[in-house]
Amino acid sequence: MKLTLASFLTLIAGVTVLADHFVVVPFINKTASTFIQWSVMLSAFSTALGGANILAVHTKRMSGKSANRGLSALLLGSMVTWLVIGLKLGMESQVYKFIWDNVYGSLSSTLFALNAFFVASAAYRSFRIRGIDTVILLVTACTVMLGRTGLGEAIYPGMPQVADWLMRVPNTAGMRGITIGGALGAISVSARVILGLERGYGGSERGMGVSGYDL
Amino acid sequence: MSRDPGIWTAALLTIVVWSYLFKQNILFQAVEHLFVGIAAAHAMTVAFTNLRDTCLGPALMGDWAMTVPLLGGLLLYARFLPKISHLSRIPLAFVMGTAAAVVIRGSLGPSFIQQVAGTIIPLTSPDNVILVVGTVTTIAYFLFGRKSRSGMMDHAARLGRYIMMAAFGAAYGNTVMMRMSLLIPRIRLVFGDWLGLLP
Repeated sequence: MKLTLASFLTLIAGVTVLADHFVVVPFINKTASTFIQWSVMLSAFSTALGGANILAVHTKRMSGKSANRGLSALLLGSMVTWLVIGLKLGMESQVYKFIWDNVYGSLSSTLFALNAFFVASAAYRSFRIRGIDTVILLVTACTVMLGRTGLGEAIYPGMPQVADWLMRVPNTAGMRGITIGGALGAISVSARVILGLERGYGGSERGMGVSGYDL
Repeated sequence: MSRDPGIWTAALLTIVVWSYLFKQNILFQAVEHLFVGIAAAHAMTVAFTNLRDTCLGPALMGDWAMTVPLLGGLLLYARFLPKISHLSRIPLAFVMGTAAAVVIRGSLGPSFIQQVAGTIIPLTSPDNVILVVGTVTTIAYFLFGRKSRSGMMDHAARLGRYIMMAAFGAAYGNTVMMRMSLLIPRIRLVFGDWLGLLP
């Protein structure tokens, strides 16, 4: 295992925050909470980094001969305008609230609701009975959907109870097994990150792949 | 018909999004880009407001501990300068270390210990038996340590797969109903609040 400055920092930060969970030592507890606070702030900086990336990509697209340069202009225009409104007038201002409620809120819920149509067509493709697995999938999905509507109760009065049981027992059992497996996976990957065995997040092994420095 | 400009805006945008169900079109693409622009701007506004209140303000007031994330945050932008781009790995490595430890802390309690504890229940009812057997067999399905399964392990893994299919089916049904509950207010907005066709 090669110890570089980056992996050393990862190790120190990781071990301190982890130790804070298990021991009551004022110095460690205070340092860990400071580290977490710093990380939250650094994450906020990275949000602006994402914005800067959007700016760079779409400015390049606008300056080229791309057929979508009008769309890029719209994206950048809306982003810059709303950013200026947010920073200049504040998030509590009337204009900000109007856009939030009627444009952002409206678009986000409609785009999510659009999935209702696409999951139906996806279900048609994936629920074609090919074996016992798909039969179980189809029966439980239909029972839960019918149990959540008046139609299911009209067909069979006990349908809502069956749907509730499916959610409470087999769904809990399956999801619990997956959660435990996922937790073990998350713990092992996080431990690899802290120990410096997993360094894919930093780009290529040789610095950022540009400068050739290895930190 | 409504005279509220807010309802007009929301209803027209809703109709443009629905137009995608017919086919991909330029209006939908425009609205999609508008959404991404607004979402990015909102995220940056929130981030900047938080930084101003918790980092920049205290740093300017003389809180030296806050200059560390300030410098680290600026180092993140070094990736745009090829000669010093490698420096952006320093704050990133720090955040990854902290985040990894926070993930371990979060996964240990609610996602592992509490789930295991919740499975250690008396086998006094059919529901409890299904819950315990279902959880254990689902985990058995994910045991890839041995190259080939045989006997009990094979049966357990197969039962685990069936339990997972039941869980996925139930989760799918629930997701569809959740999406429907988002769709209904949009229909009410267009046909009720905007056009006034619904009581």
